[in-house]
Amino acid sequence: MRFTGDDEGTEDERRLVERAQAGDAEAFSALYRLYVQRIHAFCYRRTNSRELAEDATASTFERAYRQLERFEWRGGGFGAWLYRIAANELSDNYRRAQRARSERGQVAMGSLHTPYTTDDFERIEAGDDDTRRLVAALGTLNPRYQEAISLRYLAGLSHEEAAVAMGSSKPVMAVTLTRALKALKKAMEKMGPFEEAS
Amino acid sequence: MNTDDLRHDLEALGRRPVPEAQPEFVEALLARLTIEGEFLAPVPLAAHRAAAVRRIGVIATIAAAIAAVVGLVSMNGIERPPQAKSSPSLSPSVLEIHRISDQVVYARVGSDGLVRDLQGALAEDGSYNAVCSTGGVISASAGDYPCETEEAVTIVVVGGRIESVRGHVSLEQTGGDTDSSLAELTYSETDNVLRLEWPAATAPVAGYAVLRVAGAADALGTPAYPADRVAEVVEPVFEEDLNEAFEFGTEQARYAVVAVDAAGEVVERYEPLHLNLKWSRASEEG
Repeated sequence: MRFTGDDEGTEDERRLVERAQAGDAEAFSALYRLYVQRIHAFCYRRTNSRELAEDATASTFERAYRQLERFEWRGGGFGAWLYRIAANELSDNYRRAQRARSERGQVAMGSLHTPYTTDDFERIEAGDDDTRRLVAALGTLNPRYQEAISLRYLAGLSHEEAAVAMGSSKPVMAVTLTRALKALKKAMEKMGPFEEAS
Repeated sequence: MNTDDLRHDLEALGRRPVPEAQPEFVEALLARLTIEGEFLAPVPLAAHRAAAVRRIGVIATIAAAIAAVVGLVSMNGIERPPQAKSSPSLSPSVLEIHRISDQVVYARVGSDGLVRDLQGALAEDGSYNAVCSTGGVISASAGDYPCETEEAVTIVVVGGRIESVRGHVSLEQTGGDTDSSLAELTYSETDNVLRLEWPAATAPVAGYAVLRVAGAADALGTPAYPADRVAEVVEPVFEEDLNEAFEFGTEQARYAVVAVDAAGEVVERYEPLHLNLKWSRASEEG
């Protein structure tokens, strides 16, 4: 997947980034409009929730705005960078949810493979059980695995773009993906069938 | 469900149509980003550098702490469990802890039993890899852990306290197979990850299948393709988390690799590698 369609588009986007980094609000607005729907769609697929997707999208662009000065153009460009931020936000959200459950004494900290119920994912709005199960299992993986799977499959980045976004070489990305898929398979097996909260 | 099915499901999830962001949300967020710019003003690089320096400081502090778990706890008179052999000095020392999937940080455990960074902030909840710079006892809510000098462990911090400590498996390559073509093996004790690398196949190939058998040493044969396939990789490198891959107590693992073409036919074989696994005490308890 190309973010900007062609080299000319890439150059245009690059100039927009440079202007935004120099403090040009219009340039940032243009970048925002270019990516807001894609990032929202990515977040929606990870959460199955409009509310959570909007929260994660907002956090992503807020972080991107704050860190824009540090952004350096690499393969995949601005889009890959945004997706990486969004993936980080999403895995942080899951981690916070796990910690909240732990604080209530429901789950031991660090125990990521717990049976889940509708109560755990009470805000999930849409999707069949298989989709909800897949999304829920993905949220139990360690953040790096979540990022790798999300960037490669849910954001639709090429293998190379996902590797750049992760800050990995292609071989390491391949290894990470292999391990992430294996961990996801294991997490889904441990979950068992979806059960309604009592 | 196999990995191919899972990949297919993920790809389907990635293509699934989802509702567009509502225009009200899109406009409100943009307004917040650009109009309320004061709140979101980009932070100057210098500030980032300062923050980084502070982080290093924090990091350097947290390092001093956990080994102090070792020291302080032992100074408080907690005895080592009977199975622990006598350890070296139990004086406070530095324990380097490594936030899993994150940066290296250093921590200190105070006399109140709380893990704090160098600036006095409580360590974040989560799992850390740690190395005991000296032997001693790490006091954890789930039970004390006798730590050998330079032993790598995983600690879980909850509410600033060490909730649990888990030991790692370690590896030893057996003598008879050191000329394996898979000899490019590295093992990260801190991450508990085995990494295999091998020379790229000379013939055109679609990828490589990693084969593995594991169990009691005297009951193992040579890994066979495709029965013992555990992974398929495009590049000649493979990593595996040992704690995830093996049941506790597994004595030996044997790895092999075959290069396969697009039809799945083996076009090249790599000699197998035998590894003995040694499990630490804490894993036995866990």
